[in-house]
Amino acid sequence: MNFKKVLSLSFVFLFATASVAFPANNTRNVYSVYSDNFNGAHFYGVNDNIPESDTDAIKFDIWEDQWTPGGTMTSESVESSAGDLAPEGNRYMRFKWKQYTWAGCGYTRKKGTTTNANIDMSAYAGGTIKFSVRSTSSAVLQNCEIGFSIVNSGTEVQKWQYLKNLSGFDSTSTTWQELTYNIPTGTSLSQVRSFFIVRQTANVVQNDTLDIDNIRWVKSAEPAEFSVIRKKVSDNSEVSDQTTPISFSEDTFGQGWAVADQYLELDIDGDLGGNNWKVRFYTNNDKEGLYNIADTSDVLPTAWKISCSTLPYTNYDGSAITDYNSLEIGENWAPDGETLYGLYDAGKVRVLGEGAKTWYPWFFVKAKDDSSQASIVWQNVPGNPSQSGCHTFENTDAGGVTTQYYDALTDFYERKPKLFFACNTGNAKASKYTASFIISLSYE
Amino acid sequence: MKKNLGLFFISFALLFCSNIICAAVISSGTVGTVDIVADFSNMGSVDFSFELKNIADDSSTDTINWKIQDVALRQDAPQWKWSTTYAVVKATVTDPTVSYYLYQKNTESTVYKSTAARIVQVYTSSVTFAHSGLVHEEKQGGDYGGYIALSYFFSANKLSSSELQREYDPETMTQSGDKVARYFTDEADYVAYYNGTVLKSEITSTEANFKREYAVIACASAGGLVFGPYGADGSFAPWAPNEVQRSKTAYMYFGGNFMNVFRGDIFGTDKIVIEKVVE
Repeated sequence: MNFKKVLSLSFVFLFATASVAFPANNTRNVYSVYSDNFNGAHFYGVNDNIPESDTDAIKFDIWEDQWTPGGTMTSESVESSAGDLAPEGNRYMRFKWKQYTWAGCGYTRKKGTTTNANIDMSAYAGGTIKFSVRSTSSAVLQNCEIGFSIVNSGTEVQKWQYLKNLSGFDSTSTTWQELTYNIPTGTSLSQVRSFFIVRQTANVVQNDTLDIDNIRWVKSAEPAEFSVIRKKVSDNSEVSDQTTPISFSEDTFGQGWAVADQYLELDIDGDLGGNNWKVRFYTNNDKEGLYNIADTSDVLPTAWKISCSTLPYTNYDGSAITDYNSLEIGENWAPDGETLYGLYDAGKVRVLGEGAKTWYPWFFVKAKDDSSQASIVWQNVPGNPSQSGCHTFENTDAGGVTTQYYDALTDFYERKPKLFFACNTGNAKASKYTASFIISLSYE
Repeated sequence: MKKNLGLFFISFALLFCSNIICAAVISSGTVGTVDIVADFSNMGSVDFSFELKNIADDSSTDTINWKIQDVALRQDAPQWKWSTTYAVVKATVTDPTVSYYLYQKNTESTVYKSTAARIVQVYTSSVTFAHSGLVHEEKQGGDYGGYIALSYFFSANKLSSSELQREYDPETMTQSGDKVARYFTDEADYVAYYNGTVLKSEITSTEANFKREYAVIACASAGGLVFGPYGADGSFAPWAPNEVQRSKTAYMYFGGNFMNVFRGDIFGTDKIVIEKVVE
């Protein structure tokens, strides 16, 4: 059965359009369709003016019975909460059938003024489509189909599979389960149009819901890759020699807290075998910062900050965002009994004004032997929504008050968090300070 | 009272070291390393000058003087007077390890030698034994009439004599308020606590008077009790905390408390030291 496309439902995010060329992601080990952490498709929500140069652009469409007044299906992006956890990142998608009639939806390749387009996904031949799914409705679990579509000789062809026929499916489960759809062998993937489609055509129960998360195309038997690229803070270009150290300019000497001239751009490309993984950053010794090579007891306080975007935040067209954070650092030692202690963003912080001591996104680096949460810069931990996404961190001050910093990757096309560095040069000596750091990806 | 207030300034420097650069490689994969370097080997230049001038005509001089005609004799109460001399202090320091100490060495003086510390009790828990100030040539210090307390403060702007007299109270400035003056301290000053702890005068590397980060930091209370840093007011502190100060000119003014002075007294000091020290 083919659906008639009669309308597309509004979605929750709006993005500014970009004027830059986007390199396609269709050769990555994992091509994400709906994820807070991984790269692949660029989701444009309801934007009707997608840059044609973005060959990874997708939109979300709903197909439903055009003769049913009020529509037959809705969708929403649900944010995790303590009692309702997304298995990956901080959000999941919820689909609801409003009427006792068929309806479906999907993530479809688009370009320009939302014209249908295709993308070559041949690299994933023999691979799988993996996703997390949940429903409390046995009707949905028994009757729901998922799949993808290709274009063959100008005609869109949909490849469907019932959930109940997928490996690992548990028809009695009402909690999240990870399922794998094997891409049919022999299927030409040179013109993929829809990356993930969902439908229910029979036994539809009103208000039944289906939750989906972490949809990705996965190559067969490819190891996970974790890349760390040095980029310049000044113009965000790649450093030509990736072996050079992150460095501080001499101008920072004696200036107090200062930011390094380069940052690291992180990118995880792989199926990590689950959603429990962590990226840690710590010194490769017992020092908690850069140390003076002439006197190793002389250590400069050193900190890191992770951001989903380059800093300071700007729109993709380069215009300023009023709700941004900066690379200006203040240190609050709470001398007057203030609650918070640590390194705050001393720039114009959200709606709170310049220099507000309320936003503490900088964290002191930890030594190698410190295995606490303090060394985690990026992670996804199922069952703990506050630690999902790009980064959420709990920093406890001397008074036992916890500061949380969350920076969701979902809001950006490229899910490549940036790791910035700073040190306090106020008491630096005329010498060289250095440290070797470990950055590691671990997963279960 | 015979005017005899000679001052000598001494400075010396220590060398600091420099080092070389290294690099490292980070690789793709699940574990990599990255080196971070802050190479300040080529930093650390220091330029410092101190010049005494007369407030009246900006002519150079080599002594700090007071207009003794303004001093009343036999006053058994504080009688602070500004010196007619000021100092132009210029500093270009990019080496935060360099500190400048400003202190006296009256116990080592030849003419104005302090042999008896005056005792100042500010807190019930401690007593300060002080040799600082201008020392009576014959009495050689001590509590009564043996010294003239000496203070100083910095201004970011040069002050005229009338401005100085009108807007700056040398007595209250040493006590509290936003116009902060400091007592000179002597190397031999120390604080005795009732719990048995005895501390030398806190002329330490972190509290040096001229340290770039901390401005006029050798904070003193009445009688020369040194008890640590005091936040400097921006208008008076050429090297204010949290402010980058690499090339500054400051103007230093001197106060003296002519309490209990008598005809024929001679006070002076020839051991005021400005010392450059590298930590």
